[in-house]
Amino acid sequence: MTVVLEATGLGKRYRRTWALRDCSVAVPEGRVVALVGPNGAGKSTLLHLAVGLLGPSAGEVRVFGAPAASGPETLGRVGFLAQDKPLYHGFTVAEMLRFGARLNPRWDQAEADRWLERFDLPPGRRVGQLSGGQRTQLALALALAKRPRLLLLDEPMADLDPLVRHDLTRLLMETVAAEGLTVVFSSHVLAELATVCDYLVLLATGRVQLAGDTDELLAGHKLLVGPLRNPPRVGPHQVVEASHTDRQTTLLVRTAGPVHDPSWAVHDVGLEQLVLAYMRHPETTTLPRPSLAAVPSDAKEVSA
Amino acid sequence: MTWVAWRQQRPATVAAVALLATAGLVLVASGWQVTAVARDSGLAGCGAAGGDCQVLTEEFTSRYGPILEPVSLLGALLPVAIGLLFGGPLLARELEHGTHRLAWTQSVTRSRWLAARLAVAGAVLVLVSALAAGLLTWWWGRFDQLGISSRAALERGSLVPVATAVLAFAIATSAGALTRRVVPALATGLVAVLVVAIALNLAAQAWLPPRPLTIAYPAGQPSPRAGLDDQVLTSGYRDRAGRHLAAQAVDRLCPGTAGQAVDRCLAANGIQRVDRYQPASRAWQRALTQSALYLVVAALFLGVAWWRTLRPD
Repeated sequence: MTVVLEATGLGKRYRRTWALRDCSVAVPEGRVVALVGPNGAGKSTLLHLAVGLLGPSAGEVRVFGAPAASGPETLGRVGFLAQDKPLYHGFTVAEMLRFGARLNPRWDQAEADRWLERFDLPPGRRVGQLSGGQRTQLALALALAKRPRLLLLDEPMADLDPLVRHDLTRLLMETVAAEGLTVVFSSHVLAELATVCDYLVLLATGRVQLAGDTDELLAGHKLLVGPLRNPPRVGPHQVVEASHTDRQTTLLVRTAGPVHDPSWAVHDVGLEQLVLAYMRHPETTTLPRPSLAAVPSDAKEVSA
Repeated sequence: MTWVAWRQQRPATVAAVALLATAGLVLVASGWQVTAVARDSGLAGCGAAGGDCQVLTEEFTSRYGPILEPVSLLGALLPVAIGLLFGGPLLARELEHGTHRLAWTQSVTRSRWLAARLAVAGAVLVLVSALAAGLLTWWWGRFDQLGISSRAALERGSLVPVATAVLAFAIATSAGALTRRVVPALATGLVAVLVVAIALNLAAQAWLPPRPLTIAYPAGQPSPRAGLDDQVLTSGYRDRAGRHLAAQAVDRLCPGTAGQAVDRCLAANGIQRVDRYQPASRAWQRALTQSALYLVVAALFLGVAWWRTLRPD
C-alpha cells in the first residue's frame, strides 16, 4: 500500500486556538476519501496544510513522500480546489484554461476542452459573469486538466443544486476510477459522499475522531437493540451512542469481537448513521488503525 | 508564466496609461499655452534681444505662478501614482480575493511565480514611468526656456521619476503583502511613500555626495552666485573671527530693516553671510545619488514582500 498523503502529529495553531491538533492520517493510493466534520473542525486547515498554503505549527505533512509544496514536482502532482473556488474574475473561460496550461507542464488541453464541452461553458464568457455552479465546474476542469495524482477538493459541491451535484459526482468518479486518482473530498454533509467514498476521516474540533476504510469501520460497528438497560453494560464493546425509551435501549457500539449476549438484537449500521453518532459525541475518539485484525481489540480504544 | 504575469498586469497597465494620458493632456495643453503666452508677450525672445526681462517675467509669474504649483505637484505625484497602481494590487488583490490559493497550487513554485509577477510588473512600470518622466521633462522645459523656473535642472533626466515609481511600487507591494487588502495597501502605501521619500531626500542631502558647497561673502551684498539657480540649503552669518552668529545677534548689532545703513554697519563689523548650497550644475550627480538611494530602499521593501509571500501562513 502506497501512502500518498501522510500527516504525522500535524497541528496548526492560530494565536491561542488550535485549528488542527495532533492529527495523524495516512491516505492510501487510489482511495476516495471523505474528510468529514462539522464546520470549524479543521477540514480546510488540513487540506491547506497538505498543499502548502499553510505551514504546520507542529508535526509534518508529506505528499508523495515529500513535504507539502516542496517543489514544482510535488505541486504538479496535487490538484486542489479551494472552498471558495477562486478564479480570476477578469479572465475569460479560455484565458483561465490558458492560465492552467502555462503553469502546469502536464496540462491536458484536450481534457480541459472536453470538460468545457461537457459542462457547456462558453470559452468567451468572463469568469465574473458565470454562475456559482459554472465557476465550480470551471475550477474543477482546471484542477483535472492539470493531471494530478492526488485531488484535494474542499467542499466542492456546496453551491451546486442536487441534480448537478449528482451528475458532477458521477463524472468525477468515472474520471477518478479511469485514472486511478486518489481523491480527498471535504464536506460537512456526508450524504453527498456516502455512496462514493471508500475511506473516511472524521474530524472534530481540530482532532481526528475516526479514520479508516469505510468497509472496516462499518464491520466494526453494530447497532444493538434490547430491553432497557441504563447504564448499558456491553462487555468489551465501546458505546459510541446510547438512547433509551421506557422499555428499550438502543446502542451504537464499536465492537471488540462478536456480540454474544443474546438479549441484544444486532443490526448493521449505515455510514451516515455511524458518522452522525460520532459527530454528536465529539468526545468519543477512535484512533486510526491500519487494520482491524492486526491489533488486539483492548489496545485500540481511547476515550477522551 | 510570463503570459500569466502580463495578463494579470494588464488592467493596471491600462489604468496607468489612462492616467498618463489624462495628465499628459493637462501638461501638454498648459505647456503649449505657456509657450504661446510667452511668445505673444515678448518674453520668449526677450533674453536674446538683450532687453530688460524683469517686468515681463514678473507679469508672467504673477499670472502663471498659481497654476504652476498645482501642476508641478501633479507632475511630482504622477510617478508615485503609477507605482502605487502597479504595486498595491499585485499581492493584495490575490490575497483579498483568495486567488493566491489558485495561483500557488499550480505546478510553479511560489518564488518563481513571484519573480515573474515582479519582473513583468517592474518592466512595464519602468516603461510607463519613463514616458511620464519624458512628459514632465518636456513640461519643465517650457519654463526653463523662459528662465522662469530652476526646477527644470533638478527634474532633468528620466532617472528620478522612474526611481520614484519603482520605490512607490516596492512600498505598495510590501504593504499589500502585509495588509492583504487592496485599499489599505494603497492608503498605507501612499503615506509610506511620502514619508520614506522625504526622509531619503533629507538623508541624501545631509550625508550623501555630492556634498553641498559653502560660500562666504560680505553680508548686505548680493551673493556672487546669484542667478545661477543654485539650491541654497542653509544661510547664516559669521563674524570677523569666523564664529557663527545668530540672526538675533546680527539684528542687535545692526538694527533696522534692510537698507544702505544696515549694509554699511554689517560691512563695518566685518560680518559675512555664509550659504550652503548645491550648484545647479550638479543636478545630474544629485539625480544619480537620489535614484540609487531610492532603488536600494525599494529593494529592501521588495525583500519584505518576498519574505512575507514565501513564508506559508
